[in-house]
Amino acid sequence: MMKRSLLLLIAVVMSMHLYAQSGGVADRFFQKYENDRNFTVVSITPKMFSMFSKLDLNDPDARNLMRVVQKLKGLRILSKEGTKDGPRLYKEAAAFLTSDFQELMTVRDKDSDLKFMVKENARGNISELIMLVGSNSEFMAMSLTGDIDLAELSQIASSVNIQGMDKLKNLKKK
Amino acid sequence: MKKLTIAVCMLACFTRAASAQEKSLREFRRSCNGNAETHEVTLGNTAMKFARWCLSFDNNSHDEDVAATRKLLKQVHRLKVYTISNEEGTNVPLEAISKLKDNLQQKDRFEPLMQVREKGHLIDILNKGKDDELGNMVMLIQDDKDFVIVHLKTSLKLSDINGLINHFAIN
Repeated sequence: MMKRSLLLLIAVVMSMHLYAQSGGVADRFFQKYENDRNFTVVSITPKMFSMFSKLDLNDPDARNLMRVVQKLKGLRILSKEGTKDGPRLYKEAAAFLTSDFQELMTVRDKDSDLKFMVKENARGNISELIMLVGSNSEFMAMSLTGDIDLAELSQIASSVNIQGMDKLKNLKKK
Repeated sequence: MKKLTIAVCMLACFTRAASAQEKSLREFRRSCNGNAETHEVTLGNTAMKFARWCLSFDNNSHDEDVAATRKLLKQVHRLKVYTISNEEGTNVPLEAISKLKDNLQQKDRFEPLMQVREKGHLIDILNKGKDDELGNMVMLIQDDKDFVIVHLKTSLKLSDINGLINHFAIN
């Protein structure tokens, strides 16, 4: 009886420990740097996206954008400009996220690296999209959560003023 | 007499609930008094009515923008702007702002909508209301020398804002 109680206690403690760590890998990466004042942080919460989804705009381009935005639940951007740490942070983030995300696309040129990583949901859509950009002068990590259809997202990619997102257009050709 | 007692009790409850809504902000303002130059501007319901009345002078020109703004102002019941300035540049520490945000969420049931932080600059937007309304909104804005709290009490529905966006998009 004593042994069983002890095992039960250990199981409870272990589950609590696991629960405490259950924030996704991406969460943990963002949390690591979001209190560092050298980083720029942008965060849009699910409630804000839920409010966006109630808007019914007349402009056709805006309607296209809203159709995609309605399916989003959160956006986080973590960036550091004017830094030589870009490649190091890029490698760190990519290595950190590999355990939880699948690589979707990598673009490398002489100045910078760009990587899209995704996590799929049960419906085959994307539940989280991560974009990493690293160069000798900057680093950026963006996390987009929701029920994301890549085809729709790539359609609006060029109208979203976020560096690197325009590269998503190339996915259509594949 | 019974009805009167119930009415007084209900009024007291509502008053307490209304004052509790701003408890976090009030405590924060008190903690800043004496540490920096502070200013507070409050535009209540009367001031908002006055603003709408002033705009009504423009009715002769049948300006649709003015009409849309008047309609929007009708739903804004109170605007409070509180500034904390320090010319020496040592402003409210991020930890204090973070604590204020926590208190707004935990004690006053505000929900975060958006945060933008760049170096020493910060914008935080929180609101309390249903999904289809702007409701009670607080904006926390910090730059190098000033920290500004904007507190809006509205009954604005998102459909009102939607109408305004569409109106200005057309014009």
